[in-house]
Amino acid sequence: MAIGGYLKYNPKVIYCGSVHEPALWTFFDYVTKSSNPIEAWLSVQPEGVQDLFNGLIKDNRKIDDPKKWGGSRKMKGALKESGIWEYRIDYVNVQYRLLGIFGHFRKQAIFLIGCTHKMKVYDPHNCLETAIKRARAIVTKEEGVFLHERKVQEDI
Amino acid sequence: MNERSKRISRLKADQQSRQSYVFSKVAVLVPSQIKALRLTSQTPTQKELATEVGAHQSRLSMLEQPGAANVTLETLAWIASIHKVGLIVKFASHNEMVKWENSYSQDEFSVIRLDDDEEFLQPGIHAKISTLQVGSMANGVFGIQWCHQNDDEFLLKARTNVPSDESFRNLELVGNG
Repeated sequence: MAIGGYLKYNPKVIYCGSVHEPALWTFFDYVTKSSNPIEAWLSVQPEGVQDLFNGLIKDNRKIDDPKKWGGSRKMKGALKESGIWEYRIDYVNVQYRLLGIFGHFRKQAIFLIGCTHKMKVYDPHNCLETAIKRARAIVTKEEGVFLHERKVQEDI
Repeated sequence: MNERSKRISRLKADQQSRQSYVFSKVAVLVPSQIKALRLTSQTPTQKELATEVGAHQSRLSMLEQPGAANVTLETLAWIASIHKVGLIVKFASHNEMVKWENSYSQDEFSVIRLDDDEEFLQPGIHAKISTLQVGSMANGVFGIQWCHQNDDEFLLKARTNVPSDESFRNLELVGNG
């Protein structure tokens, strides 16, 4: 099984459903004892980018099958093997990406890192390697790594 | 001051903030609706749809990508025409916009296509059948379905949840318009 992957969404697996399945997806940030790198990255992006990501999470949490999520893309190579996918939005000719994996429990998604991508250049430049490292840290339940639920504001 | 209060202050004071806020809603929900229309159509993959309408798959993909395309009214009308649905673009209060966002779900988004839009195709049909006194038929009726047969006939299907009422469990009436 791929790191953090959901067998439910594996096309070779027939999913029989579960009465315990939550109605909405819950999104988490990868956090350490000292920082929340997702929030730290997002908070310095343009307000429009923050709004778009919040809107995307608000919309996608209601979509049962993540293959149908808006703005989500499958990754290739080592990222795919690590079960990593990405949310991508375009804002003023820059691609903003949040890389994530599925959690251990149903309908849980975890953001690993945020980055921008323009003309084949990632910022931060090592974001893909960092994402793989963090995915592994979550799967192996590495000490000092936590998940922080990302709240969805219904009233704004 | 919490995050919401701060944002409200910015929305009140700054036109750019308001624009960005409104854009973020539309830039997520319009592509989401476009995707939902495709997924519920006869051509559920981008490739199939592109072939069907003679467009590039990359263009269809971009239209479903949040924030990627500056979609014009002309493009929206084109998408509506592809899927045989109508289109409403209207200005609204911020409160109405948020309520609509919260109530919207891509999985549940469903629009009647032109071929099935009976009220549009035959506006008189529902006026005709509304003259029947449905409420007086029986207690326990929980589902009533009107099915148009042809110009002069209609079919009424009623179902009940009363277990003992077998005679009324699946009732069909045919009447003249």
